[in-house]
Amino acid sequence: MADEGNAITVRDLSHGYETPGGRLTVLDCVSCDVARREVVAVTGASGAGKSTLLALLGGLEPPQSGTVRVAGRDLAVLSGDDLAAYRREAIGFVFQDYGLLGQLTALENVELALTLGRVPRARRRVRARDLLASVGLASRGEHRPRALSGGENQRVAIARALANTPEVLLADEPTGNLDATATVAILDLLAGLPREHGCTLVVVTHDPAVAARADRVLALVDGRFGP
Amino acid sequence: MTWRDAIALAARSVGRRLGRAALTVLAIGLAAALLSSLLIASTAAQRRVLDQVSDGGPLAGIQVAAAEPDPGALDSDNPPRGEARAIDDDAVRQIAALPGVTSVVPVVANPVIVVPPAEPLPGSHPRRRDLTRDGTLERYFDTIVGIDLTRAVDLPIVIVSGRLPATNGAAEAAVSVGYLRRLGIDKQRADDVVGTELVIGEPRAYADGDDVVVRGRWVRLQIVGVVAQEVGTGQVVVSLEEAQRARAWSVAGIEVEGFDVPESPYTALFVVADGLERVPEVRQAITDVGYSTSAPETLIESVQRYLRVVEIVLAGIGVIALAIAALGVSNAMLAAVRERRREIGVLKAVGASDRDVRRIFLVEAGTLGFLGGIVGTAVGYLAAQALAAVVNSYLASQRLETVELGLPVFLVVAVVAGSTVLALLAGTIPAQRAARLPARQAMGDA
Repeated sequence: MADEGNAITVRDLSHGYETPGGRLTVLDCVSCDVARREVVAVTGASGAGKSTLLALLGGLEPPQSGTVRVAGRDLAVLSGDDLAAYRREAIGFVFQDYGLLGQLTALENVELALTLGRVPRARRRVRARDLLASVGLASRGEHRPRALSGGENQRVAIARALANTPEVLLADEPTGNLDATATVAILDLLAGLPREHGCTLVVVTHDPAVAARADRVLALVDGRFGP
Repeated sequence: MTWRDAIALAARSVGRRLGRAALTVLAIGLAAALLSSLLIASTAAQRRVLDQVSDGGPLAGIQVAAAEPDPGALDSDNPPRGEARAIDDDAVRQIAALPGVTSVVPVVANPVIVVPPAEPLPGSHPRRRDLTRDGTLERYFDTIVGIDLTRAVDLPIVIVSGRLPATNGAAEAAVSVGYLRRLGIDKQRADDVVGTELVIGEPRAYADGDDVVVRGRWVRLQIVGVVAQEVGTGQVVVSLEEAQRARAWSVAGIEVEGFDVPESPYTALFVVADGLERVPEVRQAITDVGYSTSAPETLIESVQRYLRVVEIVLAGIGVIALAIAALGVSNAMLAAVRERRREIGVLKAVGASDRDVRRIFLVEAGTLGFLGGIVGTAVGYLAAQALAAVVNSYLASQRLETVELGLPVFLVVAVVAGSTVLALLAGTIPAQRAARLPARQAMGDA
């Protein structure tokens, strides 16, 4: 398999769901490669399979057929615990609605991935503070998500996604809930991540402005990559 | 995720939904309060009943009489006594050395003439037969009971009012409720005789030609307390030394028919066995030595069995209440899982395994149970105290021994641990359900 130098290699990936009306194929034999430190935007209409592709790349569910190889791991052969370890060690997620835990402070949210990885408290706290400082929120560490703006929450989410030094960062409509000013700031932040943190970035979006900041755009149409 | 981190995260989650958590804790707390108050009251009642059965003495107490055992009555709890057999210091040592004996307290009883205060106490109503023709209280024959006051705790003596005589040789006595009856005073007014004096005459018979003359050695004693005592049949409790002096005085006289002075140095012994279960063995050993015994161990065992059944029934009621509360925990946790599907998905997206998620939810359930157990034990204790205050108010008005409630450590541990374990069991299914939620929930669309 030609995944030398690639962070992501997808071959003949098909995925679907059983519905009351019969089987719904969401991804239909798609293949693609993403190079290390590349920024790729995945675009497409609602229901085109963008989020499913992201979920499969992130190991949120195992692929039904085909091959998904990310950060050197063949996700099809990983067990449930191995997939959890993969998400903990190799992947960072950024969600449209931030996905922060309301009962934790910004600092604790950033620490979460490290907490799950049993990193000692002192070490993870230092790492979380550094990351919050790197996204411009050094002074907001003790604030809870409800006390932060949408843009600030997304910065916290990005800091959390970077906490475990992931090889691949997966962002699902990261600016979908933000105003224009915050969108520009978040896009600037995301665009700099491959250079500053050495990670590969896959952004799912339907916003042309976001796609325009990517190195490459993969357009999904009815479960297949378009031209 | 470590247990410590899981506990910290669970505590935050419980705190975030404070209203629901408070209601769930309250439900467990009320059930735990019911359980603990029932057990506290039951334990106190058990102690009170057993005190009553054992006359306030040790449950494993055995009375040894200065008499030979009656071979035909060995299986009886209170066998009729055989021929007189002296109890001396050798017998005390011999019995004290028997296996299973923890304490041997000698008792000396001696006949005396009791001279109560001449004038009846204010508010008293003596019986006509206890008064002289001029209306003063009649002197009468009775028995003083001498005990080793330093070991009164090993004897079936319950203080109704005041205290026991001091151990420093002061001329003090405690009287029984029989003395109150003689003076025509209700038990409720036992305090009235404390501080009064009585005179006892220790008798000695002399031969004066063909006649017999009885002289008394008169001792003035201050009454310092009123007791319900079953050590002997006398109405006056004094120190062992005082009773021995009285006996030494009396036995120095001549024997007179109808005026029995005990020949035995000690009138009786009160032996305490090392546990109720050893009482039969110790009784048999004392019988083998050659003394008659009596003890209510069979009655006490029967009462204990009955009380155990009551305790089990009460505990059962409490446990049922706790089980119902546990269903509340289960319901609350299932609702939490439904509401937090997205949060669970996010946890999994950032690397939580099924085991981590299960652990977080189990710890949450356990936290609710633990808090409920603590709240319930505290509330239960207060409720039992309130109940005891009402009961004690009545008992005090009747001059009966009041009930003291304890909060045994084992009860606190058992109720808190029981609440926690039940909550953990109740949280198992919700935690399992949370653990099995697909990580895709993080995307919010599955």
